[in-house]
Amino acid sequence: MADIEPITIAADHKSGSIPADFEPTIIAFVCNWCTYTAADLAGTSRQKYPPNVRLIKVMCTGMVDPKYVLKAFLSGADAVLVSGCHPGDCHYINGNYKARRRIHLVHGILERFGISRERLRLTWIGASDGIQFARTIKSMVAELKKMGPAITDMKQVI
Amino acid sequence: MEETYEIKGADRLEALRNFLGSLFETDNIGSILVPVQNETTHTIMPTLVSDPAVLAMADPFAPCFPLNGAKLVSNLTKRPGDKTMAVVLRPCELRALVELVKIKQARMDHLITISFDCPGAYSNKVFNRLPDRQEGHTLGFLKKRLESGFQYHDQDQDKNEISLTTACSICTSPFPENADICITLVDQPADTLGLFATTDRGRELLMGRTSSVKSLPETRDESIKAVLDQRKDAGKKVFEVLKSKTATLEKLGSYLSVCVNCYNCRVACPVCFCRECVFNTDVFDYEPFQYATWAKNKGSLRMPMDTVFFHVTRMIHMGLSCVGCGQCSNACPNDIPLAELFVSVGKEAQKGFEYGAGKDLDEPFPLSIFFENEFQDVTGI
Repeated sequence: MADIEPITIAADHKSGSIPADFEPTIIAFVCNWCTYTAADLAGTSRQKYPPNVRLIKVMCTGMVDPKYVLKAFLSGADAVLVSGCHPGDCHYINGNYKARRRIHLVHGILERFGISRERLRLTWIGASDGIQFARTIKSMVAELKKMGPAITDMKQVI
Repeated sequence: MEETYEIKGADRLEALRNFLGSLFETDNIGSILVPVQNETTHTIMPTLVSDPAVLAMADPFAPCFPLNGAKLVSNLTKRPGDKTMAVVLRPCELRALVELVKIKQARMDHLITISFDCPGAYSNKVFNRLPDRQEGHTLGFLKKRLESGFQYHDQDQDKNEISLTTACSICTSPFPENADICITLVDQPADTLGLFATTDRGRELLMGRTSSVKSLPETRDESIKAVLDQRKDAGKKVFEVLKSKTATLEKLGSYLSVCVNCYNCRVACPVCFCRECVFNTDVFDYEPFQYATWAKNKGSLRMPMDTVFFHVTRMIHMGLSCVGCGQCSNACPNDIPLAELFVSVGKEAQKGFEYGAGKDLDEPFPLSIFFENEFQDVTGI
C-alpha cells in the first residue's frame, strides 16, 4: 500500500498535572529462566528496588501475547515491562526474538493512542543480573514519576 | 510490459461474460466464483457457477460489495482438490486471499485468480436501498466512474452523487497487481476490456484464447497515477481527522462509544481467521463478583466492557494483514467508522516491518519470521 504520513505523537498528553503522591504501577512479564531468576537473586542478595512493580512469571517472553500487555494498560498500569533472556540465551532457543518483533509491533500501535514507547519496555536481564534488575526497576519508576499516569480517566476507556 | 489482449462485447459486462464463458471451454476449469445478480431480488452475491448460462447474470463491476470473497475462497480451497476453479475478486479481496494463503487458510494450487480495475462500491446499506439495481445501473455506474477518472465524490459537495464507502475512496490499490489474469477498464472503449497475465498459469490460459493481441492504452499509467495521487490526498485528510479524534486511549473510547460488542466487524474481516476468537472463550467469561469489583474501583463500569480492548487487540492481531477492504465499517450496525481506523493503524504497522499486506505471496508474514540482529532499538532502557 502507498505511503502515508508518519504519525507525529503529541508530547505526553497528561504531563503538567501529575498528582503529588503519584506512585506508578508497573506490570512486569518476566521469563522463568532469566529475569525471574534475576529478580529472585536481587531479593536474596538484598538489592533494594521500589515496590511499584508487580511481577508476572511467564515461561518465556515469546509467550507474552500483546493482549496481556494491552489489558495491563487498560486496567490502569502506567508501564509494562517484558523481560527475558539475552538473544542467543533463550531456553526455548528463539522465543525472545519473537517477543522483540511483537513488541516492535505493539510499540507502533500503542504510540498512536498516546501510550509512548517509554511505557512499554523490553529488556534482556540474565539470571545472574540481580543488580541489573533492581537498577532497571529503579530507573523505570523514576522515569514514570516524571511522566505521570498512562491513563488519566479510566472511565473513558470503555 | 506484459503481453496484453483484449476482449470485445456489446458492453463491458458482456465482454466480461464472454471471457468468463470462454474459460469453461478449457476442460480443467470446472467452476467460477463470481458475483451474480439474483433475477428476482437483484441482489448481487458471490456465486459458484458451473453452468455457463448463469454467467448471463454475472455482475462483478456493480457498486455492491456485500462481503469479502477471500473467506469464501478459503472455504472452497481448504482441502486439496484436482479441479481447477476460477475466482473473480476485487483487488482487496485478492490481497486478503493472499494473506490467507500465507497463513495456510486457503490454497492457490488449483485456483485461477481474476481481478479487475476496481471502480469501488457503496456500503451495503446504500446499495440495498437503491431503487434501480438492475444491469443498466452497473453500466451507468461504470461509465460515470470511468469518465470521472475514478474520482471520489464527496456527498457534501454534490448532493446528487452517492458516495462510495470511505474505504473505497481512500483505497490506494484499486488496480490488480498479482492476479493470474488482470482485467483492465481504465481508458478502454465501452465495448472493450483489456487483459493481461502476471503469472505463467495466467499466460497459458490467455494464450490462444483471445485472438487479438493489443497493448493497453498508452494513457493507462498516467491515469492510474492520477487516481492514486488523488486517493492519497483524500486518505491524508481522513487520517488527519481520525488522528485528532483518537490521539489517546480515552479518545479512542469515545470514538468507539456506540460499540455494542457484537463482533460483526471481526466476522466480516477477511483476515481475522481464528476458528475460536479469544474474545469468545472463557477468558472473557467473567464472574459476577468481578464486575462488581471493577465497578466499585472505577466508580462505574460501562457495559458491555472490554470494547477498546477488543478493537485494539484486533488491530494488533490482524493490523499487519489489513488489506483495507472496509468490510468492518460495512458490518457495523452502529456505523462506527472502523475502516479508516484499521486502515490507518494497519498501514503504519505494515510500514514498521516494510510489509505490504497481500502484495506478494512469497513475502512471509512478519510475525512468522525473525532475525538475529534486527529491531535493536526496541530493547533496553
